Amino acid sequence: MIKNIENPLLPSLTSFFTSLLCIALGFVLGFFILFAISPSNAFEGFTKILQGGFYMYFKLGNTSGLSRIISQTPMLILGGLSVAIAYKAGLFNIGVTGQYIVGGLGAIYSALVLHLPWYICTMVAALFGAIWGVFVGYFKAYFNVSEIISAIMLNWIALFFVNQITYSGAWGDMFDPAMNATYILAHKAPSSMIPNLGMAKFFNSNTVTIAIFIAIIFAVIVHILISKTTFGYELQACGLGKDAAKYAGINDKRTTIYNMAIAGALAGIAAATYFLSDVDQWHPQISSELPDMIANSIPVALLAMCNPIGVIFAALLVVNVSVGATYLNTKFFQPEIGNLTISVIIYLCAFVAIFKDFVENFLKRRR
Amino acid sequence: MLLLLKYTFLYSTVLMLVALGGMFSERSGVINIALEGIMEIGGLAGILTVIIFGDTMSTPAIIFLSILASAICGMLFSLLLAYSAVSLNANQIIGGTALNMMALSLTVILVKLYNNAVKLGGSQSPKLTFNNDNFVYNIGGLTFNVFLPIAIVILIIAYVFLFKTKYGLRLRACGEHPQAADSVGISVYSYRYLGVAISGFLGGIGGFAYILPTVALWNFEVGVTGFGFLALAVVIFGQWNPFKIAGASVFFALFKTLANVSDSTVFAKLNLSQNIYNMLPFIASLAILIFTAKNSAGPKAAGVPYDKGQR
Repeated sequence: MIKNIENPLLPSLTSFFTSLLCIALGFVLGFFILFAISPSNAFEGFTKILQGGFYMYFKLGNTSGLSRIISQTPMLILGGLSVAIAYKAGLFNIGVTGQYIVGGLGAIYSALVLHLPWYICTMVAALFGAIWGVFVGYFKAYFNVSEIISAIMLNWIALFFVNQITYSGAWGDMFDPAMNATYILAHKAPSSMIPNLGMAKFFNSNTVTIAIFIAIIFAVIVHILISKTTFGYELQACGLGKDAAKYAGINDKRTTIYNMAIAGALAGIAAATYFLSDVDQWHPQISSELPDMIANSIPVALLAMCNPIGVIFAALLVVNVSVGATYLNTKFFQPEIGNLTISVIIYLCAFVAIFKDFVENFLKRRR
Repeated sequence: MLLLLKYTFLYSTVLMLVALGGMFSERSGVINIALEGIMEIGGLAGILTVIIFGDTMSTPAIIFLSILASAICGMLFSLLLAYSAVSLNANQIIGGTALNMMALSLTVILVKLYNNAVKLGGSQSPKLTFNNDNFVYNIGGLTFNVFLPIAIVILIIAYVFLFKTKYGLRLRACGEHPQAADSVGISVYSYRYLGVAISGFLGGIGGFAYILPTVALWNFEVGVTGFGFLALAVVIFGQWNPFKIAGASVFFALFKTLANVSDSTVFAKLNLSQNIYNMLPFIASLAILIFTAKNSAGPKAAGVPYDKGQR
């Protein structure tokens, strides 16, 4: 919003290099962690984390790692967008997990029970997610409930609610006792799967679909929505100063609720790209903890400094690291090291103010 | 019925310890969303102490040592939050989120490393087996654990410290109006560090009190299943006041217990699914928040980094 008079590009350049600095420092610390656990294998392990999904390709020429990246990234891009758009209005959408879970129910229900085409399933998922998001926005706007606390409660409610619906068969038969999960879409409702346009054959994995392009398109849409529309302006005004926005005639309560509806819808679409591509099924019995992949949307958004286009690259990075960590030799290392590295990077994001000054001075001196 | 009482005691002890920690932190002006992670770190430290020294030491010594270990480790971990939130004026929610994530992966890695080192042939199990005989007592058919008296003592100390000493008054001032506090010579930074450190201390004990008493095996991959977040809701429901927080903890614990013992009480006749009971504590807390949040008077400066130059 506030543009630097000397050089309009300076703020975004600063943000970009600050993020890069966080990532680089995070990786250095990640290397030290590996070194502390097993010094002689640290270098090999570190290369695997850095190469991530490309490791298998470089080593054996097979695309299994690449297909995992392509099938898992869309969910994190859309989840990251959900967190990012909420953050622009000053809301911390920790409820992305709950909106994703309920959106997932919408996708699974409309696919397995109603056998709707994939784009309708996606819309249903978006609607379900939006409803869950509106709860948070409504409680925040009219009852002054912190969006963080209400979202945490709604996450757990969503988890047990969706477990109950999918397992009990109250809305129709979705639970496959043989798999102890909901039915695999490819067997039960192939027409509801997101099309792959031949990509599945190329990558030799039927979870590779056009979901990745859908996610990228949404990133562009969110970018336009935030920076080129009246709604986006109002949203950012609310985020920068609620009282000033109100004084300028912006209806902050309405903006909060609409914004949470959009954030929820994005989280719902995230779930649709995941479940309608058969990347995984919903496991109602063992799911007594919240799904952890989608929780990474928060790191993704923070890493991208809530820039919608940046979210695409941040999601790729996070998925790459977590895929890379699964190739670590479990004799010496634990796959959780991937998550630990990401958490260190996010913690360093808290130091942004210091890094920002440093990078800004550096860039200014160069000119 | 005894089972109902047992679990209610257990959960209210845990919630009270952690929520009192959260209260100190928020009273000083820092929202500690990392309580969940602090509980995990403190829990692991306590459990490891019990496993390593449990057989060689006397009962009072091991109780003292393990609780101290959990508290110290929780406190050290919370200092990471204090450093980013107080010294660097960073966003408290971002720092807390990162620390929750860090704690979960760190505890799993440490448990796996420990199992790998102890067991021949190496094992990458995220589970620890332990013996809690020293901590649990049977009185008239009802099981108590040592954490209940400790929590009651801490509750009283917390009340006296917060409302009857000058340090408590200063801590509260830093959470209400840090500029005013600073103007009369109170070091806002030190008191915020103190608030966060106390929350780490109590959160660490709370995590240990959650994991140890009921089971002999814990899978650290599940963390502490959202208890740290529930404690944050207890802080709000308890209006940042020690005794109200104690009451709120008992209330929440009762709902949580109903989920656990639904099969063995009169509620079994209702034939509701386990999922519905699991939902109850969260629905109840959400409903209560909706009715109370509008008039709640939390510390005014909680969540706002202290800016010396601001008026």
